[in-house]
Amino acid sequence: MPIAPVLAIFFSLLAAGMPIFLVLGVLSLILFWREGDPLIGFSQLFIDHLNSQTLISIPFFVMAATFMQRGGIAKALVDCAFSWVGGARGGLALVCVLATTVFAAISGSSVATAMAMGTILVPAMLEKNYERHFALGVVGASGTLGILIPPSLAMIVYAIIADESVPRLFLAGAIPGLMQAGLFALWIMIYTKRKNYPKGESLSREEFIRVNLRAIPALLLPVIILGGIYSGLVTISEAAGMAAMVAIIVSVTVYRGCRLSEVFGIMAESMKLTAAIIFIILGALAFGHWITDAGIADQLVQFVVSNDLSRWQFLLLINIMMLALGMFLEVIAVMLITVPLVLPLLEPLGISPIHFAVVITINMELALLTPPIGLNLYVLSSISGEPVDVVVKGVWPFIIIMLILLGVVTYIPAISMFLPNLVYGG
Amino acid sequence: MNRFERIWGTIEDWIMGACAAIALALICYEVVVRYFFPSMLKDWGSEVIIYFTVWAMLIAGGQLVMSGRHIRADLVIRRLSERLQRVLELFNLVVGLLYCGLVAKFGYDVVMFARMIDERSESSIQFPMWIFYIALPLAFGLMAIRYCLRLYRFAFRFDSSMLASAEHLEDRLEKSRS
Repeated sequence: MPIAPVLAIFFSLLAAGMPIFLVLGVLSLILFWREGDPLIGFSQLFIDHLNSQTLISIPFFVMAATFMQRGGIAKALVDCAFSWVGGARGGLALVCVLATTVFAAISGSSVATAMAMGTILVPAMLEKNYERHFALGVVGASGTLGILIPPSLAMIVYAIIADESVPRLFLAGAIPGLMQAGLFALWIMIYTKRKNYPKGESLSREEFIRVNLRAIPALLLPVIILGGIYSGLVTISEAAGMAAMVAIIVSVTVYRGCRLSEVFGIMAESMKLTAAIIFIILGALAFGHWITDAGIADQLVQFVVSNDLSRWQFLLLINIMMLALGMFLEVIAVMLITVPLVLPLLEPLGISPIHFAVVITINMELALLTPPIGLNLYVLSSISGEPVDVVVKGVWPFIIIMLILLGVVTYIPAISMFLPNLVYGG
Repeated sequence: MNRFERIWGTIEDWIMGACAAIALALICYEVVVRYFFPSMLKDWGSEVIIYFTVWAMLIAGGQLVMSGRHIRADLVIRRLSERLQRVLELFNLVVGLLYCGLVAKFGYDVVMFARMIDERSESSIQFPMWIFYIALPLAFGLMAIRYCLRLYRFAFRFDSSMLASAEHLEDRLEKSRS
């Protein structure tokens, strides 16, 4: 079956409001049947993919993020960041960027990051008379760092679909993530100077020491996760499990953001949050299977070759397509729909799948911010009680900054490839 | 939601929470034991962690169907007339029921086949794989039952709050916390 009608049905079903796991699943099942494959193979495919070490890291990263958000870890990080940069002009906005950068090194989810930071920082900024749209924009945009700075749920999902190494992918996101944080900080400094924001207050020496000591357990989390993975001491799923366990212990005993009796319920809730992603992943894996099996991959490669698409044209096309999809679809869905289709094209065009993962991830960050469907917009709107329009007004400058970053990262692969090549060899 | 569904949901929550907690405890046990008491390390740890985690995740599927938390793009459908929304929602529910039912059926076949050939894991416990495989037909079966329930309500107990356009911001947010 040719790809064009399949895609037409695909997008019609999506538009009809069918859950994404169903769209991918039903379509793959029909395609399986039309190819004459025995249908028991369809369920077998699901089971084979579920029996995976990488896959089970997802629920534990989600669990860690959920506890961090509810357990007071976010607050400790914000206080710590405040002690360092809170005294500068527009200090709270800089605190937001710094704290989210560290928080993102523990949490793999952008929405959890935006929610955790937003509930603390938005009221604080409004109290200091920051413009509403600016305050909301800073938190919404910084929150997206969660999926770019390692560990990242998005990268794990990509690794599963593309069969890539998770530690390599994580490393690839580090420099672009720090660049994004740096660019945001720069813009905040320029903006707050132009609008003549007052300087924040600095903490006394005793207070500075107290706040930083209190943040140590929270700061230990990224050390455990990233240190564990890159020293080779633990696997990805073990790192995720350790992160969840430490997040639970720290939340319950040190910061006391949640009670022991709530732990079990939050665990079950994390499983539900994960399941929503897992069922889509299964559908996407089946769809990807059809693409390779039915010779669609070859058709796509033929199309690219016959149209003489160069690497930069292809990347431009993909970026535009993903930006458009990201405006209307949920973040993980954008990745799961695009990756199986595009993957077979990377090798013929000489694009590294690791570099491509970073390009996709920045697109997914943008998808969180671009109206009409950008999850972080809704998160911020709900936290602040402001209409989504105000949040949109606030994130625009950051969207432009991220588009510039996307361009730079897309066309200079060395930015993403430097660290993975340095650590693992080219 | 009636009492029966609440109890059912609570039981599922307990199974999910228990499986997740056991898996988490096993992961931590593995890491600690590997570095401090390597002789106590078992060769079946990582495999059992997968079994518990997958069971915990998949069982959640049914509740996601019931509360409409399976991620979807409702931008278009929200703007349609109520009548058209009703038709499309009905279509989605029927497709959901058929798909989940079929995957459950073929999943059951996979379980039976694994039982027939007595498929075992490679570790020393030689775990019978069909027990792990049950997670798939069970999960899709639970989802199919929930689709049945929703279809029944949609057909006989319809009210306009079941349509996408009636969903509020808070619901959408709650759904998309992942």
